[in-house]
Amino acid sequence: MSRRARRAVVNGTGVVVALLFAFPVYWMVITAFKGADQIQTYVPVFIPTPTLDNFTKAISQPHFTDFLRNSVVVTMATVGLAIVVGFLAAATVARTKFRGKGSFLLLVAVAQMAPFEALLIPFFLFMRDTPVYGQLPSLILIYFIFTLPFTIWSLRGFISGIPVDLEEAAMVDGCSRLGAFMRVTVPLLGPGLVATSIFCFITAWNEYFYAFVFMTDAQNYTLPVWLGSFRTNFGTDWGATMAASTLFTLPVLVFFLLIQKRMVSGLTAGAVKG
Amino acid sequence: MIKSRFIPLAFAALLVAACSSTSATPTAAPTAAPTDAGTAAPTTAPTAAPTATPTPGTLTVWLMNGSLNDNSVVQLDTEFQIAHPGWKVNYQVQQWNGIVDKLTTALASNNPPDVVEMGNTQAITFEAAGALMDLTSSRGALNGGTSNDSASTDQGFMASLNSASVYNSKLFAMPFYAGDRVLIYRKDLLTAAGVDPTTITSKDKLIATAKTLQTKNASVKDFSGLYVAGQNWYSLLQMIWDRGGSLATNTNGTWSAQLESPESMAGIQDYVDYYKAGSTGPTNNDEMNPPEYTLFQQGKVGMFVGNGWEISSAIGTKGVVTSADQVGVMAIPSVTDGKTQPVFLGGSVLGIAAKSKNQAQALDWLKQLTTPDGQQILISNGWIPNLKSAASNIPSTPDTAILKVQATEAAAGSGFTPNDPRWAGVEANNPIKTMLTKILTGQSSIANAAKEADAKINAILNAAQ
Amino acid sequence: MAIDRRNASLHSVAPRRHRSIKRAAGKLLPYLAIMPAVVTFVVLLGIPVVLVIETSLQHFGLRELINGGQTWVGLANFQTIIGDPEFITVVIRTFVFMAANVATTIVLGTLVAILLERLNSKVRLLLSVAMVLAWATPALTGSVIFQWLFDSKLGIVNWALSSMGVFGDWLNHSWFDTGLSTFAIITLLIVWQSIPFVAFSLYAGILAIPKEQIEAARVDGASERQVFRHITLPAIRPLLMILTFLSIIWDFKVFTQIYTMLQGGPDGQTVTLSIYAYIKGLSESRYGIAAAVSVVMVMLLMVVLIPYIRSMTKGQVEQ
Repeated sequence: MSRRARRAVVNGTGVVVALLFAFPVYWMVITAFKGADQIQTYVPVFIPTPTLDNFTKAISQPHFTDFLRNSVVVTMATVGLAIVVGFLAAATVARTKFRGKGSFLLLVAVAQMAPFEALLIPFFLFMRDTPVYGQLPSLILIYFIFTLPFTIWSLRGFISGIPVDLEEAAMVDGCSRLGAFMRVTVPLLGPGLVATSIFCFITAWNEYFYAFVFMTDAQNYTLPVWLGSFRTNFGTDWGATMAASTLFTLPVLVFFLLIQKRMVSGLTAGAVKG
Repeated sequence: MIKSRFIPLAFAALLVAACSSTSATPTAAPTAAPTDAGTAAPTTAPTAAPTATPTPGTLTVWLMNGSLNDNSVVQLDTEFQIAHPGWKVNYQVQQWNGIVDKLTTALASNNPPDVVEMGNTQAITFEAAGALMDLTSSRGALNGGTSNDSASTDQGFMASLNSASVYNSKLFAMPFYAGDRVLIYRKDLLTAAGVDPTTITSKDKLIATAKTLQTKNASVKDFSGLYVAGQNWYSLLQMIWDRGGSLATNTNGTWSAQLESPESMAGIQDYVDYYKAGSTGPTNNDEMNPPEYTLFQQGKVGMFVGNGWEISSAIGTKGVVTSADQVGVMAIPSVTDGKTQPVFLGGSVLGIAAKSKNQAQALDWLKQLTTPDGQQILISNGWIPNLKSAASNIPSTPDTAILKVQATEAAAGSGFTPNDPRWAGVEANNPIKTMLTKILTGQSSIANAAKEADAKINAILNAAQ
Repeated sequence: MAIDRRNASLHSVAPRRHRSIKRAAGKLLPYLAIMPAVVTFVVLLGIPVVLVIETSLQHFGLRELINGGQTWVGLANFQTIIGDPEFITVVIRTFVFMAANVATTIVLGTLVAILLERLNSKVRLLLSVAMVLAWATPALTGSVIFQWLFDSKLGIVNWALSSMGVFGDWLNHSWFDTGLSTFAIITLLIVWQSIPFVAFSLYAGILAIPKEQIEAARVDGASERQVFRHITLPAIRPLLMILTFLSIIWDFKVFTQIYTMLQGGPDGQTVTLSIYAYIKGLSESRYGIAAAVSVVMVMLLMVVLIPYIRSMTKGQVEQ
């Protein structure tokens, strides 16, 4: 096979795989534009006569802007906290020797295994008498605990992947150990930070149960609660649910598109190092 | 806690100081220290303070999504404020998804909502746990009749809503509203087939009509004269009650599942007969997968047993069923000619939190719903009201046609699932659905499948609590 | 440079003292840096975990949650679970299900990562965006979409199979009539949502491999397969270990996708441990039982993962 033909096959495969991943999402988006009588049909409707009714309905739910603001605050705070605390721990574990490192890693591994779904009641018992109960900080705290073990694992992996000799070279040039780490290794961590923060972002952004159960006032709910508001015991408004889901997924895409540039900058830096 | 708050900050400062020339590092992010989130509440939640600690003079009422429209809420609010000058009502609309967990934590917290709505099948959990205030002595004040056994009179609460509100012979909740299933049919198809709907007065006649529709519409692919999903267990319950059977009986605290009783098995046989009359419903899924009203809307169904709210979903703007004139509603016929099938009443009850600090006001709020005005509010929202007297006197308007059919059925007889907190465990992985699939696919006889289901139900209902 | 100047001045003032402070600080620094994480795990997560263990040894229902007064019952909750004849089946099923999901996710995720690296930038962005969207779709919405796709009457899959005209009429074919086929659909759903994370992580790992190393191997006549086996695979092995470790934990605990699909049906054949905890414990507010199931779950996970944790932490300590 010629080089060009091989490349065409590879890129063709890429397109097919992309379509496979996108199809359920496409179906969600297309459903959001459908009237109620086109949503589930014997002969599927691939290109509907578009209506914006579902979106109008979704956005005009009471407290929508509160939910949106809360979600942004909670998610950003979670990502920030998890990345800062996780980075400190990961860098330490990957780059220094200290007594008790093994125990610390074991602690992180065990924390990763904690079944958060089953911790709902214990977290409630723990928090019900504190001032944060019913307030957004309790959610931030819980999501931070959710995502921290993973953040440490993941960042540790990425940091260990970057050769120490690069830092040592910088130290020869007169930078301190920390200085070398900050100047040489951190800029190379772009892709790792991207992958890790997307994970934290999605986890915090999508969480429903704690958000619904721990917030006592409608003004403190986050967007997943809004997503669920079209399902009742008396039927579900699927059009509005799908419209809400579509809008709900958009910020993740935007977040990804914004920070994937960092991924690219990380790449070029990495290429230089090689 | 306090210590840890400063350490990362100090460390971040160290980092910056150590190598000051590079600044675009992730550690320099403006986010505060990790445990700040636990203590620094005011920055992120400025609006939450008033309801987290209800000041005297505010009644917190939790209603479920879809129960009352905004006008009704305003009306109740106005009336309450006239009677209680200076008081405010804080309404919170709750989602159904996850509501049991939400109620659990809310009722166990130190500042619970005062009035809470819950599904009538969920209520028993909270009643049995002592989460709700005992309303027994207020039954009269709530117009709830004089005794727990309200089945015997025509006054008081609707019987099966009443049973959802009573635990250990005490009233722990007030019935709110109910809805039930009706026979929904295509008027145009029945007319074309020459069938007068008023003549469908028994099981045999319903099956005959199903077969007639099936023959007349043979050209429509995947058509069901009478659509029955394989696992519509609520519909099955009604057939069992119609034959005089029951799900389970309780003697001295021990449950005994009754699906294998001759009466229940006769009801199961009825279900099989209906299904075999030409339904194309899946044997291994329920009435919502695929949604029966969608199939109806697309012209694949002549008749089906559905909830009142399904009717509006069954009429679309495109497709086959596009006009309310094509859709008729009638009571579900019994096996006995001229009678109607007893119905399963779905709905809600309202409770007052045992830890509520405003119980007297909460009770007054509840009373508003059992006055004639309150009954009218429920009717205008499309619900069967909680009092028998009002349910049997629903005014005839074009809007209440369906409701009247529902109320008539409910008045003729209704039933409920076994009133035990452990019943939720049965529904969590329903052996009755499995039983139906096994029977309809011929994997098992009615007797064997019923016996198997009974064993599973007994194990759950008699488990140590 | 700023630091150098400052260091120099410090040296000139009190060289000895500074050195000893620096050494002490150097020893202390790692502990200061991991302190926030340690506090989070030990206090913020530790308290709820202790509460779960405590609850698993108590008779603890809704009444106790509201009014207190829980009683110690020793290992009674554990005896109830282990005495349930269904329990061992559920455990085995959970492991088989988890293994199938993890294997599928990791193998396909690796393939997609390799593919990502070879695509031109436009197709790569297309695939990345498609994967991010799949990943970001809320679990509940994703589950409903898959239910629709495989619906017996209104599903696109049956429609497409019928329209091809080769396989006959698929209308009313049910994909949910056996435990195996139901699990297959659930696996498809889970894998669809888990691949993106695995693929992105491995892709980031592959990018870190020096290009020259691969080029050199190619010049020496190594085949693609040899390049993968001798260069790519060893380089991403630590990452693969971590991803497998995480996938095992996640797939062991899956709840939403399974319960939304068929509530553990048909006939309880898709009941895994987390569904079991819900059915036997939470649905009836028996928190003691639910806590005991969670404790058992974590213990089972630990047994499986101990070799993993050991090799991961060992490699780290030796480094």
